[in-house]
Order: sequence, then C-alpha cells, then structure tokens
Amino acid sequence: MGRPELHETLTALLGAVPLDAATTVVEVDLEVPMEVNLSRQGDALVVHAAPGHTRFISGLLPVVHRTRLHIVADEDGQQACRVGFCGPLPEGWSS
Amino acid sequence: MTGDAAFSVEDFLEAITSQLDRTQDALRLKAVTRPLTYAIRDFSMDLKVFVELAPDGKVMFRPSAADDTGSSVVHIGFTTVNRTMIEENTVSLSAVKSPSLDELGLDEQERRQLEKLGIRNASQLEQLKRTTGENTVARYSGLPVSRLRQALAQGRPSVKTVHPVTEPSAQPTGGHRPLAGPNAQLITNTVPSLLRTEPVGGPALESSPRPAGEPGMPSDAAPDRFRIPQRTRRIVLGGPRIEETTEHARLAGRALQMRTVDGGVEVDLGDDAADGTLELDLGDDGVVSMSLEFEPDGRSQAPTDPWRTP
Repeated sequence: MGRPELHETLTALLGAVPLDAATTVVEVDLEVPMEVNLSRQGDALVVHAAPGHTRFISGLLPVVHRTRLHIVADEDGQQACRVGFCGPLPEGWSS
Repeated sequence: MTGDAAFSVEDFLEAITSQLDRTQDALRLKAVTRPLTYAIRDFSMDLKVFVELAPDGKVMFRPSAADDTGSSVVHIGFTTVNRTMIEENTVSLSAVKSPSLDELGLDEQERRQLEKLGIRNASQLEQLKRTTGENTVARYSGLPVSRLRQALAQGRPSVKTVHPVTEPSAQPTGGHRPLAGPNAQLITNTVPSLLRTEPVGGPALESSPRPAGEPGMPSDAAPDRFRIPQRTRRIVLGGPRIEETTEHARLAGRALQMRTVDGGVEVDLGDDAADGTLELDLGDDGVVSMSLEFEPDGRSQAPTDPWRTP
C-alpha cells in the first residue's frame, strides 16, 4: 500500500491530541521520524509521508527523515484566523 | 524518500506548502463543529538528500536511498504567517503580470544572469534600473547596457493593431456586417457586450510609421499612423500590455470613453470624431501616441464588395 499524502498524516497526528480530556492540552511538540516519498501528479510534485513502518533495524530500511510539529490549541478557530486561514469555507460548507 | 529523480527546491517547497494548506483547510472545517481544536504553528523537516547543481544553475535535491551514505541533511522549517506578513513579503501583482525575461527576447544565458540578481520580469528590471542605474545592472549582470535597453524597449506596451468595431444596433440579421475596403474586418457579434473581430482577406489595420522627430508628441518615439474607415465610432487597439496598462485615452486632446477587452482596449471615438492624434495614457509606462486618420468616403467602398447594393 502506498504512503498517504503528508496532509493526511498531519491531520491524523493532530487528531491524536485528546480534545475531551479532563485537562486541556494547550501545546504539543511532536518529533516524528517519517518515511517520505514524492510522486508527480501532472506537473505537480506530491509529498507522501508516514511514520517509519518498523522500529526494528533489519536489512535495508527506507530512509527516515525527522519531522517536528508544534501544535497549539485553537479555541473557536481563532488560531486559524490569526494565521490567515479564516477566509470563506470551501464550497458546500457554512459555519 | 524514494525514487532517483532529482527535484528542484522550489517544487518541493511548493508541494509541502500545498500539503500544509490542505491540513489547515481540514482544521478550519473541524472548527465549525468543535469549540476547541488544534492548529499547526510550526512544522520542520530534516531531509536527507544529495544536493546537485543542474547545468542551468538550478539547485536540485536527489533523495537519499536506503543504502546511500554521506547524504546532506537539509533542515526546512515552516511557520505560520499572517496576512500582513504575506503582503509584505510577496511581489506586487503588477510585477507578476509584467512580461517575463523570455518575452523580452533574452536568451537562456542572459536570463540566468539576470535571475541571479533576482530579476524575473520587465517590471523588476525596470525597478532595479531606476534604483541603481543601468550601468550598475549591466556591470553585475554582465549584459551590455544596449542589450538591457533593447530588452526593456521590447517589454513596453505598444499598439500593434487597430480594429474598427461596428455598432451592435447596426448589425444586420445573422450578426455579420462586413466593412468595405482593403483592410476590411468581419465583425462577429453574438452578444452585444462581446465583440470579436476577425480579419477578412487581409491583416488588421497595421500601423505605418512616420519619420522620427514629429514635434508636439508626448512620447519619445515617433507616432504611428492608422487609417480607419469613415464614420467608425469605436475601435479596438490591440498590442502587448495595452489591456492592463491603459488608464485614459484622448483624441486631439479630448478625453474618450474606453473599456478593456481581450487583448487591448476599446475606445469610443464619439459621433464627430475627426483626424487627430490618439493618445493612450499608460500610467508609469508613459504615453503612446498615434495618428488616427479616417479614410475618405470614396475609399471605404470596395468595388468587389459582395454585400454592396448597386
């Protein structure tokens, strides 16, 4: 199976932060070794990335690249707004 | 990373940015239903690649394979920016719309020399020339001053063709009304607001240059001369960058109504237009002048015109 696109992996990692816990997480620093590959869709380069598929060292393993994610709490989507992503929602969506 | 193909740094950064944008879009949607969600503030990657220099001077990254040793590690960091920061750090729209170096007639080697100075289009070349002087640009780029002048001259807006436009109300059934004369144009009009001109049996009305040094003209170059059929009310002036740069139009000093059309501007000459100098005010690009002449009545009827009523 091919690796998912980077945005799918990032969304999954963000989704792993508990939302309904007794205490609120306000900041998360994640360091994830990722296996990355690139593909071409038309003229565009597409990045595929997933966490290393094994923790065992055996034979020739794909190269892993260290990635670091700094995640912050975003109450009512305000953080997204502050960073310039509070524009109109994609077609078919309304707030 | 897998695969042996090298990719440019620019392509890779664009690909990552696109992925981050899609993540942010998903989070934005999630925020519609959740009072609390999370956003990515920073994202960084340590990429193991082999850095190569392509023959055209571009830096390329070749992904490190499983059994490769000695690869470089490129640390790429992305952070969030606000709208003001984006506006401060991006080139203006006019600079993007400006003709590329390719369109200025520069060959690959010359383009590369200018790109090393951060010049990618005519607007940036003009700006650097204004700020530092053309000798400085010539010295650092290694291009002769005459070549830079020639390239800039090629990128300036200019009027290449003039098409007469028929009145929508004057259209006969079927929407075709041929204009008589050697330079006749077939005007196809299906929607009143959309006029398309197609040359019939000859090119569009081309300019006939006058000798240089004509007095009283605001532009440096001698004005071109265009002849149009008698009683023409509206004309379309076409040429490179005319559409985007024209601010005002005047005929013999009288302001004219105008609107932009595909590939140029359409100018309303008025009912009582006579021969005179037509000037297009192009803002920062100066003024383009041309002499507009109406053909005498006798010349605007071709004897071979099949539409002519005896």
